[in-house]
Amino acid sequence: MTAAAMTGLLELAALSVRVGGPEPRTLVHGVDVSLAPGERLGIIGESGSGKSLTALAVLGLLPYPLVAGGSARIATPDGVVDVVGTPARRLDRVRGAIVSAVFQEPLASLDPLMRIGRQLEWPLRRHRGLRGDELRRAVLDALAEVQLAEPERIARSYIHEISGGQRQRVAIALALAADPQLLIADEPTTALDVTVQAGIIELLQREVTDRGMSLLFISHDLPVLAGIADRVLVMKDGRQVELGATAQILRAPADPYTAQLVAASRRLDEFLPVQGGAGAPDAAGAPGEEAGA
Amino acid sequence: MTDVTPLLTAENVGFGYGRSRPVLADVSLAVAPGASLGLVGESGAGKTTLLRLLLGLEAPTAGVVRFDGGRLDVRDRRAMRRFRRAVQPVYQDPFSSLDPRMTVGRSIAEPLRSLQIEGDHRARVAELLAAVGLSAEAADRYPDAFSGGQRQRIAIARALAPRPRLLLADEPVSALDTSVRMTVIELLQRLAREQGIGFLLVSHDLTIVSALCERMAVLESGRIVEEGPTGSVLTAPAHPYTRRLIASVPRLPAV
Amino acid sequence: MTAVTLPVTTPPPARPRRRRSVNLAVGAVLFGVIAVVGIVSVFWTPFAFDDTEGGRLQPPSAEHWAGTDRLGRDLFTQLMIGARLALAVGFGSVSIAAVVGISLGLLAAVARRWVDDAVSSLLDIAIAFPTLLLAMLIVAWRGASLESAILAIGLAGAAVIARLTRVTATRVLAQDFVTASRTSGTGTVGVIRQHVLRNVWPTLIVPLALQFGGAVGAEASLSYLGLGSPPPNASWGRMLQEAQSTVLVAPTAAVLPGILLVALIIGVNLLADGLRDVADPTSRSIR
Repeated sequence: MTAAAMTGLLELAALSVRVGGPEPRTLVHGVDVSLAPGERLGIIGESGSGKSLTALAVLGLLPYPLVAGGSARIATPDGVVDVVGTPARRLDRVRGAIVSAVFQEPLASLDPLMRIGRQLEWPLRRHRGLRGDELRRAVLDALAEVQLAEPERIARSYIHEISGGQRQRVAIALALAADPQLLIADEPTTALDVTVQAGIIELLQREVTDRGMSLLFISHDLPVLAGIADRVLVMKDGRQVELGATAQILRAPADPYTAQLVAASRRLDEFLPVQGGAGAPDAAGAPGEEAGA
Repeated sequence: MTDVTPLLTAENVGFGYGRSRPVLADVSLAVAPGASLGLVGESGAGKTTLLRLLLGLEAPTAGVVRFDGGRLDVRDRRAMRRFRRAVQPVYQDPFSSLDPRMTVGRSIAEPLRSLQIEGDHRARVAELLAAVGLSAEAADRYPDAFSGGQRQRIAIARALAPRPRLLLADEPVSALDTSVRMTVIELLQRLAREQGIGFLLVSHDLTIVSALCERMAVLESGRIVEEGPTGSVLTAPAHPYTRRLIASVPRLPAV
Repeated sequence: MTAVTLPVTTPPPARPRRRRSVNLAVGAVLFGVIAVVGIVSVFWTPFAFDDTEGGRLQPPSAEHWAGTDRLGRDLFTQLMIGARLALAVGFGSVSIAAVVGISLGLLAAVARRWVDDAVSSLLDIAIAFPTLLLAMLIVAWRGASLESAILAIGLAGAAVIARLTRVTATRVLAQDFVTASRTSGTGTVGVIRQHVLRNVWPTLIVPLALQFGGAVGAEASLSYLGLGSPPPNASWGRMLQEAQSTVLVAPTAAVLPGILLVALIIGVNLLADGLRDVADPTSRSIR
């Protein structure tokens, strides 16, 4: 891989995550994948697969004493930035404006002591340079865009005063505030009720499409991933096991671990009635599911 | 409806704190011996509270919980001991349901000790470990040596120790990886088949309810909104909440 | 709902291994040496305590290894007896703090709300009360003696232990395995005996060890103020007080007790740090 211009938006080459110290360990052994603008990539893995660490490495947010190796190059208007090895100050300009993230537990990723409106003002003021009335209107617009009813009330509230699904929508609004080109979503629906999940996934899909963003969606749940990702990267024990189009992975997985994962998911899925037999026509579901009669 | 006395029933059970909206209202259900019932609900539906009431850990503020036809009375020690032998729980989180400072063998044998069950406890523990597909050496190890799925099997072994007739399971596979879920589901199916153990399964996950329960009930905001044979409810749901629930489950696209 | 995980995937748990700890080694040596000296003093000292043949304020010599004090008594003997006293105070008060503290803490954790509230308020008051003041009150009531000092310091420490026990026990009681224990038919006492105690005591090791050092220091302060146990109990604190007026003439008499006091307290603190390093590697101290 030359140091020349990138074709895609994100390029991971031999990306690794290591722990130093008296007992050095490699937690992620080398991930190779590139992401084009507007593309949706899913990373699937079970616990201990290293998928979340990979996301953190791309964001440059690995906690001490974890350290990234290899490279994670992002195409920015100012040139190519390799997150691995770039000082934190420079990365501040990349995070938010180019790459943004939504995590699993909004209670942990949102500030509990700041009103929601104020939390949204920060990135809007910083990245879009808005002030005063313009800023306030932008906050309300952002909340309305993620389909929160009563944006004024939400803007005045604290995060513990709203529901889990609403919180995650706020987290998404926050992530989109600076108009990033890549959104990383790490298990964004795992902590939510199943009836709320569908809405969040639909929101993510719509935003990503409308804004022409790329999406890196991480999950342990294959049906969820299959509904949103064009390509899937399978990880196990810190290693990249398979990479391919979603349909291909589901139909004919090359790697035995992937095959086992797909088979297990399918067996679980088969406990439920055949699709098209139930469900209200207006509810969101996985693509390919016919609306219920 | 059978005319056999149901093993465990809730009759118009309610639970609440003071004047605020009750957590549970007018909940009625019955589990026949050897039968299985799935209770589906999301957060805030009151599932956990209902489980605690059915386990005799709290008393309902309205209605009655009955075991084998008789009212469940926490103060009647002999009756409670009979109850605890017959009805055992399996919890959701395999990491907090085993005492990290107690060996697996001692944890599994605890019901045998506390319920004063006679016999060779050590042999029984080995038997139980085998029944859940773990080796007898596991008895001397500590929980942190095992994976989530293995710990859940240990928790099931503990629940089986007093030879219960009914297992009350709270999200038994939700915290487990996909590839491990089938193992535990199959284990539970086998137990139902071979030992005639019934289940009352509480979950938000329709998959496991469908896998293990002949009948299911849907809990929303503390009330049961739909009930019936699992197959019928899933294919032809009557209540709008049930329909929304079913439609929300992410499905694998057919290939 | 599934168990909530924060955005960081935790690395697979490391296999528990004995960690080498500098703290533990140094602490053990300091504590050990002084402990041995204290124990030996029960059976043998170079001189009898009140043997005043040596001549006043003599510097260290072949006969009197540390010299003599203003009454002609051998200093080395007194230092040895002081070590024994310090150990007695340390173990004694820590034992009282542990027994009283753990009992109160467990009571607050399992009892009804109002009992818990009452005990917690009591503890808050006890903690706010300065240890030394409490000690002086008890000494004023019972008269100055070793037992009074140990009782006072122990009770003062009990409050902190009680509060810590209460918090930890409450957390343990909320765990699923305790609920599972109850549904296994285990009663409250059984739950405490089988589950709560063994999950709570690791949290108490370090605070109790630190209290040992604190107790030694507190007793030295009391003795310095003249409120500690009277002779023939030789407390390092009292030795410091006696040597104060003659420090320029006979520095050894003032410096040595101080050094030993510092050494013992540092030793115990390092031992506590080291114990934590070994027992719970996830909370490693900054080294």
